[in-house]
Amino acid sequence: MKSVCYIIVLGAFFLLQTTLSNFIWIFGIKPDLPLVFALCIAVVNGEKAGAAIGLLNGFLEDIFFGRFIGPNTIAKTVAAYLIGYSCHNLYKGRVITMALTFMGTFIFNLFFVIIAYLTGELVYPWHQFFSITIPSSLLNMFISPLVYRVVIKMVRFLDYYFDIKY
Amino acid sequence: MVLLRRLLKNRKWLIPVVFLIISIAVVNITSKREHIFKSLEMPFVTALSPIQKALSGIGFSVKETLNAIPQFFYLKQENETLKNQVAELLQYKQNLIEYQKENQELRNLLGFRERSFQYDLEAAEVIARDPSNWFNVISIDKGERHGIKKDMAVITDKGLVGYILSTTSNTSKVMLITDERSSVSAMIQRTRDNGVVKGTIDPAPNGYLKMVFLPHDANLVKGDIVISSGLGGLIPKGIIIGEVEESTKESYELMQYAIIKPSVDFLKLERVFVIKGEKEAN
Repeated sequence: MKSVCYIIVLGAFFLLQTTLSNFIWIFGIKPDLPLVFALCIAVVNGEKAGAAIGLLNGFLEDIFFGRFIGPNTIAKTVAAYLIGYSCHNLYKGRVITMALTFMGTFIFNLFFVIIAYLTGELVYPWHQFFSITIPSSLLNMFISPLVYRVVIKMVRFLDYYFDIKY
Repeated sequence: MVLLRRLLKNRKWLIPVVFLIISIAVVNITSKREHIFKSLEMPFVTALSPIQKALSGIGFSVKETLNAIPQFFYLKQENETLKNQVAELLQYKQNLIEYQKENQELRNLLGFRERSFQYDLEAAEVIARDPSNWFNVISIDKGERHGIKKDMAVITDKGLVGYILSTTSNTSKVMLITDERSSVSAMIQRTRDNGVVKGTIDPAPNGYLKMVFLPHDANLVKGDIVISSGLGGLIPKGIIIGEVEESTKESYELMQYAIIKPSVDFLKLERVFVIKGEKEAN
C-alpha cells in the first residue's frame, strides 16, 4: 500500500513537471522535480526504492515524450540506485541530500547523454553537456531541501499509518 | 569452475547485468517496433492527458492574469502604438492585394498552377512539455481523431513551431525546431539561398538554431528573414522560421552557416495550429 502512495506522489510530481514547470525556466533550464523526488527516496529509503521510483519516472517520460523506452528509464534508475547505494553510511540531512542531488543529477545527465548518443538520439552530445548539466544539477540541488522535507514527512506518516497504527 | 562457482555465489553482480540485458532488449524492441511502443503509450497518455490539459489551462490562465497586471499601466501607450500599426498594416494589405492580383495574372500568363497560401488548419492547445533539458518535445490536445498525422507542420501566427513526431487518438507529440534532432529545409527570403535549419547545435546558443549548407558566397546580413523552402515536402514553403543573427564561413570556406533566432517564443507556447493540407485556391 505504501508503494501505491509513493506512485501517486510520483504521478503528481510528474504532472506538475510536465505542465506547471513550464513557467519556471531559469536561463533556459528547468528543475526536474520527479528526479529530485526519486533521489530523495533513494537517500531516505535506500537504493531499491529509489531505483524503482526512478524507473517509473523515466518510463513515464519516455512514454510521453520519447520515441522509444530507454534513455530516461535507464538513466534515472541508475542515478537513483547509485545515490541510494552510496549513502548507506552517511548521516542523512538536508545538506547531504543537496550534495547527493547534485551528484545524482550529474550522473543522470551523463548516462542520459551516453544512451541517447548510442541510440542515435543525440548527434552532438557533448556540445551542451556542461551548459545543461551544471545548471540543472545546481537547480535541482537548490530545490532538494523542499522535496526532502516532503519525502521525510510522507515517509514518517506512511510508516506510522501502515506499520504502527494498523 | 571455481571462478564460476564464486561468481554464482556472490550474486551482487547479477542485478546490474540483468538490468543491462533487459535495458538493451527494451531499447531494441521499442525503437524498432513502433506498434509495441504505441500499445504501451496509449493507456498512460489516455489516462493522464486530460489532467495535463486541465493543469496546463490553470497554469496559463494564472500566468496571463499575472502578466496582465503590469500591462494595465501601459494600455494607453500600447493603444496608440497599435493604432499606428493598424494604419500601416492596412496600407500593406492594399499593396498585397494588388501584388496578389498581379502575381495571379502573371502566373496565368505563364501557365503556372495557382498557388494557395491558405492552409487547412487544426487549432490545438499545448498540454505538456518534455521535462528534460535535452530534447524539445511538446504534447498537444489533438490527434488522429482530428485528422492529424505524423510529419505534419505545426505553426503559430509568428511562424514555424515544429512537426508532428507521433500521434495517439487524442494527442500528438510535436518536435520543436529547436530540438537537436530537428531538420528543416529553408531559404533566406531576400537572397533565396537554400540551406537546412537544424536545432540547437554547436555553436548555436540555447534556444537558437543553426542554418547549415549555405553557399559560401551567400550574402547574409543580420536580420535577414529565414523561411521554409518546401523542399522535402514536410513543411510547406514560405513559413517564417526566424531571422539571421550572425553568419560564419565554415573551414576551407566551402560553405557557411548562420545562427538563426526563431520567430516563435517557445517558452510562451500556448496554442498552435497543425497544417493538415493546403486549401484549394478560390
